Amino acid sequence: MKSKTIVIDSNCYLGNWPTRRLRHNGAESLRRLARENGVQKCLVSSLEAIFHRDRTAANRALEVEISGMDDMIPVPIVNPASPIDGGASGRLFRLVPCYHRYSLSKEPGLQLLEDAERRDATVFVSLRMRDSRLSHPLIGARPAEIQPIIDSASSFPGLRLIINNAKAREIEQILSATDNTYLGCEWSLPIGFVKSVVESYGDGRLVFGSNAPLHYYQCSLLQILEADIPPRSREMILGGNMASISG
Amino acid sequence: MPKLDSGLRTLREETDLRIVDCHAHLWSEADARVLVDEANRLRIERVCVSCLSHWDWSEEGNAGRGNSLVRSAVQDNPKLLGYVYVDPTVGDMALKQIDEYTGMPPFIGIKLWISCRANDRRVHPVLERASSSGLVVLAHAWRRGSRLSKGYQTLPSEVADLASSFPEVPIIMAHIGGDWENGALEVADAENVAVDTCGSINESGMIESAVDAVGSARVLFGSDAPSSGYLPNIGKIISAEIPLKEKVDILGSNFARLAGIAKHR
Repeated sequence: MKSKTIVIDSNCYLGNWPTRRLRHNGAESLRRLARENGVQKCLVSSLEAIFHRDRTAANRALEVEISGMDDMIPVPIVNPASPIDGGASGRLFRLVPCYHRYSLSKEPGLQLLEDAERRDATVFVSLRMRDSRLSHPLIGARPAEIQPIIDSASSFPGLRLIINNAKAREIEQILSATDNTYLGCEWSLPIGFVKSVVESYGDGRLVFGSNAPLHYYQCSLLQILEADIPPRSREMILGGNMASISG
Repeated sequence: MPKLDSGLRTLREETDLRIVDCHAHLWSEADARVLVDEANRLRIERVCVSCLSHWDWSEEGNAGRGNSLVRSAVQDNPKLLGYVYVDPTVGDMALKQIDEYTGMPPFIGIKLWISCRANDRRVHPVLERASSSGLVVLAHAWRRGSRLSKGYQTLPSEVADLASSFPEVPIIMAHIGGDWENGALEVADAENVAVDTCGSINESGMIESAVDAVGSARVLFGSDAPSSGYLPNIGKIISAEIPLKEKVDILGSNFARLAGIAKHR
């Protein structure tokens, strides 16, 4: 299939995961994998920045690793609950409340989102990284709660929130309650789900994200490429929406 | 500009692909139409289903209601094949269900209740029926990685125990045992156990790891549809870094051979 569609991966990572080995977790390898799958641009975060106390150093190491790669866009990971993170100053940043254990509807998460809205920043939120049934007992991360995300999206209507790694019922719940959120399709979705979302909410609210290299690329990609939706909707989800949101 | 690659289309162009889904479900009567329509759209040849509603095994009528729903679906839709779902701990009631439903060709096997330990002695009469009737046995298994998931689910090691007592019965261990990093390894020595890849776990490396542990001939494509779509589950196989022929075999040929499923277009 030759296409002029620009495919943007809103959700991929570099680095090591503490409890399992990963393939394609270096910049060159991930970039090659993305290209083999037709992906032209990756918004990439550091897995180590989830777990290291010194997130600034991990985020900086990722920037160094992808420097000179115009198709790899760094999305630093920020923990508003950490006194040494220093807040998010860029136009794009990612939150992982499932591992950093804070609520987006309480301080200091609220202040971070208020600042983001004022600065016209785009905020990515990973609801989970792995299925909780596979979580290592020493880590025991629980998925982020949905209601605080809905509440904060409503409190800051000018904010753009990209929600990654949501399950189908969470996607429905968030889309039905908010107007300024965009949902990734990384998790296995039920038959007909993408079509149903497009019919109910239009094609402007879903974005492509892979969760690579933790996940296989074709799992999320096939859900969009082979969905029973109009070609224009497919183009919007694969990259058009993300291009509009992040500039 | 690079090619926008639907791996599924590429695989179809390059091979004589058959897709047979060894593990899907009906939750209600309406699900049969959903499964069949999507299978037709994606050119999936066969879909094997069991019913996941009506779980009160203490009531004969209730246990039978789910299997009856499967019977209606497989009789109305030639694309569907059935598993009779039984809890071996209820004894004769389970055997009656097997005898009632598996006499008909659209039923190809028996699915074991997920919370019954596969190596419980009460499972043996069920496996004896499978052996005498030439049925495959589908066993859900899940080794939990954390305390977050609830309820007992039989373990891969218990499936391996069962398999060693009935080496002539083909057993499918579902979900690669849940904890895929260990699941396939736990059944590697039980040569009559294949693993299916179905479910919502999309983690990279899971297919390669299963192939390394048990060999590609013992890895079977399943979806867990309709709650988990065919597409992400096909995507796992397509993405795996294994030879093309092994992908084709996993997506359909392996299970068709195991269950004796003839080509159906």
